[in-house]
Amino acid sequence: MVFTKGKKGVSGLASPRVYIVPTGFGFAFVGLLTAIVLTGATYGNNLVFSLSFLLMALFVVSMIKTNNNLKKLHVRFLSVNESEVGGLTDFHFEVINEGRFIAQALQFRLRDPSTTEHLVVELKPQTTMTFRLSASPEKRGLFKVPRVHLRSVYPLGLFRSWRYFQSDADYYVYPKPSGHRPIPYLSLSSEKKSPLSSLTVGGYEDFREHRRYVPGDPVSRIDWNQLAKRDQLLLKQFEGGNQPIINVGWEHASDLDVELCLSQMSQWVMDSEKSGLQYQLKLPEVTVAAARGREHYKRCQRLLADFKN
Amino acid sequence: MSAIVSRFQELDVSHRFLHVLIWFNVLPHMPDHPVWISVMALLFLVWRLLGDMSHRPSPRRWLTGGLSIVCALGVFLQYKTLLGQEPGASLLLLLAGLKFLEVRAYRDYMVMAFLALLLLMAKLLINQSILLTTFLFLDVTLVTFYMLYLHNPNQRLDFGNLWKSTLVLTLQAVPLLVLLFVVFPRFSTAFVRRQQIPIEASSGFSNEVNPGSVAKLASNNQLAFRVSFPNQSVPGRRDLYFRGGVLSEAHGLKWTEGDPGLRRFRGNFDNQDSRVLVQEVFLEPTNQNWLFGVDAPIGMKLPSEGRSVSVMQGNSRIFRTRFPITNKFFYRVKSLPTYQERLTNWKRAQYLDVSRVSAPRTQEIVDQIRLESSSQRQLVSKLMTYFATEEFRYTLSPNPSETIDQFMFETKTGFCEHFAAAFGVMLRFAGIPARLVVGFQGGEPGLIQDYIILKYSDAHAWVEYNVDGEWVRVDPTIMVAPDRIDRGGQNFFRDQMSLAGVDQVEPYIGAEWVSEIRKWAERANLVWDQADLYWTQFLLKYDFEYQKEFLKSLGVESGKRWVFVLFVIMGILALLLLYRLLRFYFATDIDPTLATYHSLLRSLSNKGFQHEIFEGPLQTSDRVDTFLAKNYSDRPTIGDLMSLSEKVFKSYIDLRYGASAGPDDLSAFKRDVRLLKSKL
Repeated sequence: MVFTKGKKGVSGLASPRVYIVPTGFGFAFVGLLTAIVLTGATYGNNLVFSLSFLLMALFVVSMIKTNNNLKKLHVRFLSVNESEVGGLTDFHFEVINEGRFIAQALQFRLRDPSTTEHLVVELKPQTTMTFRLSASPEKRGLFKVPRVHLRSVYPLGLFRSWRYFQSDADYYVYPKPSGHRPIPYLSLSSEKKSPLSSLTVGGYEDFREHRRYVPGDPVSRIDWNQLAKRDQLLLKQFEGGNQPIINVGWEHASDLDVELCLSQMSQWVMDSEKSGLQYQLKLPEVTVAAARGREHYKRCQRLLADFKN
Repeated sequence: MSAIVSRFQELDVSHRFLHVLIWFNVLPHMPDHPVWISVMALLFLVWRLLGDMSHRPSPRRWLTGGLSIVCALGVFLQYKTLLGQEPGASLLLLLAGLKFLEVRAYRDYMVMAFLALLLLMAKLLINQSILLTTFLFLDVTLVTFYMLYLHNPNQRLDFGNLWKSTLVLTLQAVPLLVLLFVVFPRFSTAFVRRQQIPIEASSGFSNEVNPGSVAKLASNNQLAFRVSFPNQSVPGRRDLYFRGGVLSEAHGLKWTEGDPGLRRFRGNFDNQDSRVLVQEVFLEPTNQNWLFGVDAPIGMKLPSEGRSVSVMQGNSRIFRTRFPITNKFFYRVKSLPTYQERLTNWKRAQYLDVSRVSAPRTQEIVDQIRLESSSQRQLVSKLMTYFATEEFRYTLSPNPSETIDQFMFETKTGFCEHFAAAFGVMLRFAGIPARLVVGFQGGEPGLIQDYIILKYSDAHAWVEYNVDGEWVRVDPTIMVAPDRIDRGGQNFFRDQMSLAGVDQVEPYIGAEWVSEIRKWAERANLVWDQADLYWTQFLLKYDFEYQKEFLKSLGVESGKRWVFVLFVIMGILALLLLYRLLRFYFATDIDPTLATYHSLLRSLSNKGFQHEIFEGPLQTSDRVDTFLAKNYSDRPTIGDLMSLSEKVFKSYIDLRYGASAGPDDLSAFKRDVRLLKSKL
C-alpha cells in the first residue's frame, strides 16, 4: 500500500491518504508477468525478458499514475437538501484539482452502498467541479455528513486507488410523514368560518405581495399587467385578515407510539406548509411560534427529527 | 470493399479496437503453425467479424466450450503432446480465437488484452529480429492504448488524447525497462526444454549426401549463419571451410554418416594455443542440431552455463546440440588449423572401405595413376589434376548420374558433392584413408567487414584424407571451378544463373541505371544485415556472465552473491506486500462487540445450543436460559451461570443497541463472555 502522508490542502486541513491495491486484473497481470519471466528464463530469450520488463515497468508506472490521479484532489462539502426518512437527501460537494495534471475517471460515492454514484470523466488542473450525491436515509435524527469515497482505476485498471473525505457538517433526517389524522387548528377568536371553508377560500382577500410564478400555480392568479411591465410572470398573493392558525401539537397524537406520533406531526407540518397557512409546532419541551415559509418549515422538521424521548 | 469498411466503422468502438488488437496479434502467427491451426484461428476471427457486422449475438458458451475441447484434441493429435513451445503456441492461438468469439463483458475485454500479450510472447520465442523487436514495442503500445481506452469513461472518443496518454505511459516505462534489462538477473530455470518437433523438414544438411542434395541446398538464398572473429581479422576466403558433418561410409556417389559417436561435450574451452581461431557464430534457426565451425573445431561454448541446451561432440570433430535449434542461436567455437589423428587399424580399414562401391573404370584410372606416383602426397595431387585435365563441368543442375563411373566418364557434369564423392572414392581406391566433409565454404563479408554472412548457397562438400597421422583437407571443386572458391558461392551462382539466362532482370535500356539501383539495394541490404546482426548479437550475448561483466565495468561489484541478495530483498518485499494485501482483502470491518457475541454463539453451538438466524438477542437470551437450566442443572453453580449469561446478553444489547457505551463496557463484556465460555 502506498501512503501519501497528510499534507495541508486547500482547506488547511490535512489531506486524507490515498490507498491503493491491485485489482483482480492487477493480480492476474502479475501472474502473466511471472509466466513470461519464467518462459524467458527457460528459453534464455532476452526478447521475452524484455517483454516482461516492459510490462513490469508499465505495471509500476500505472501504479504511480493511479495514485497520482487522486493525490492532488480535494473534496469539500457544500450543502445538503434534507429529506425525510425514505426520501432522497441530496449532498452537494465540490472537487478541486490542485495538481498540475488532468485527473480522470473519478468515481464519487457516499459510503452507504444504497447511494448514487457520480462519475467525473476528467478534471483539468486548477479547476473545480460541483457534484451531487444522493442517499436514501433510513433513520430520523441528526447525522454527520457521510464521508465521500473517491476512487479510480485509471489508467489501466490494474490498480484501484481510493480516498475518503470527511466533512464536519451535520444534517437532519426528518421523520417519515405519515398518518391520516385531520389537521388540528388553534382555536382563535374569529370563529365565523368553519376551518374547512377558511382553508379553501382563505388567503384570497387582501393583496400582499408578488412572487415569481412557478409551474403549477393557478393561472388565474397571474398578474398579467406585471408581465407587460417587467417581462416576468408574477403571481399575486393575498392575505386573509382572519386566517386560522394550524396547531401541530404533540397532544393531538401523543396517544400513538413516539415514532408514529412524530410521523403524524411531520405530515401535518408538510400539509400546513403546502396549504399556505401559518402553523405552530408544540413539542413537550419546545414550542415554535406560528409562522410559515421555508425557514420555519425546516426548523419545525429539524425539531421533529432530533426529538429525543 | 468500401461497404465492408463502412460496416466495420458502424461497430461499437470497443469492438473495433478489439478487432484491430486481435488481428494485429494473430496474423503474424499464421506462418508458424500447421496449416489447419492457422486456418482455424483465422476462421474464428472471421466468424466474430461477420457476427459483429450483422449484429448477431456471440455463440453460446457450450458451443465455444465444445470447440475448445475439439481444438485441444486436435493440437494433441498433431503434436502428440500439449506441452512445449509449439503445441503451447498453437493451443494458445486457437483458444484466443475462441475466447474472442465469446467476448461480452468488461472482464472478457481485459482477458483479450492479456491473451494478446501471451500471443506476442509466443511470437518472440520464434523470432528475435529487429523487426520483431519493433513489433514488440508497437504491440505493447497497442495493448496499453486498448486498456487505457477500456478505462476511459469518456463517451466522446478523443483519439488524439488517448494516443497521447498511451505514448506518455509507454515512454515513462522505458527507463525502468532499460534498468531492469541491465540489472535483472538472467537466471535460468531448471525446467528442461522438451524436444521440439520440427514444423516442416527444414532446409539443412542431413546425415547423408546424395547426388544433388547439396546442390538443392545451394540454390536456396536464405541466411544460414553469421560469423565474426573477435580476436583476429577475417581469414582469407580459401581458408573459410566451415565443417558441419563428416560422412565416412561410401556407397558410390552417395555417402552416409555412419555412427557419429555423439557424446556430451565437456571439453575445456580455454585453449591458449596461439594458432587457435576463435569464432562467434550466430546461427539462424535450422530445426536441426548441427553446429558449424572453421576447419577444424576443437571446442564449443554456449552463452550460459547450466543452460538446458547441451553440446554433443562426435568422433571426428563435429558438434551437435542435443535438441534441434528452433531459435536464433549463439555460440563460440575454437578451431585449430591442423588436425592430428593417428588411425588405428580398425579405423583405417573403415576409412578405406569401398565394399559398397562398384566403379571398375574409375578404379582402373586410379591404379594407373598410382603406378606413376612415388609418394602418397604426389598421388593425391595427381588425382586432383585429373579433374583439371578432363572436361568436367561444375554446375548447379548437372545431368543426372547414378554411379561414379557414369559421372566420371559420361556426364562429366556435377556439383561439389559429385566431385567430392568421386574424389573420396578415388582416394580410397588408391589406398589413402578418406572421408567426405559437408558444411559451408566462403561467405560474403558484412558491411564493416568484421564478420561473414553465410547463406545456404555457400553450402559445400569436400574431402579429407589422412596421411602420416594428419587429416588434410582437399577440395576437388577448386580444380574444376576455382571461381566457386575464390568468389564465393553466392556470387558464383548469381553469375552462373545470369549466364544461363535464368536471371532475366536486365533490360536492354538503362542497364547501367538498373545495376546502379541494384548496387544500392545490395548496400541497403548489407546495412540492414549489419543492424540485425548487432541487435541479435546483443540479445543473444546478454546472458548471466555478460551481465556480470557489464555490471563490473559499471563498477557494480558482481559475483553470484548480488543475485542472491537481490532476490532475497525482492522476496522479502514481495512477502511484506503480500501480507499487507492479504490483511487488506480478508479484514472484515466487523464490530468487536458483534465478533465477541458471535464467538459466544459458536461455543454455545458446540455444546448443542442451536442459534436461529432470525432470532434477536432477547429471544436468544431466553432460550439460552432454558438451555442452561436443562443441561447444567446438575451443577451447584447453576445459578451463577444463569445470571452470568443474563448479564452477558444484557450488556450485549446495551453495547450494540444502547444509547451510549464506552470502551470499558466493551472490555467488561469481552471478559464476561470469556468467563462464560470457560464455564460451559
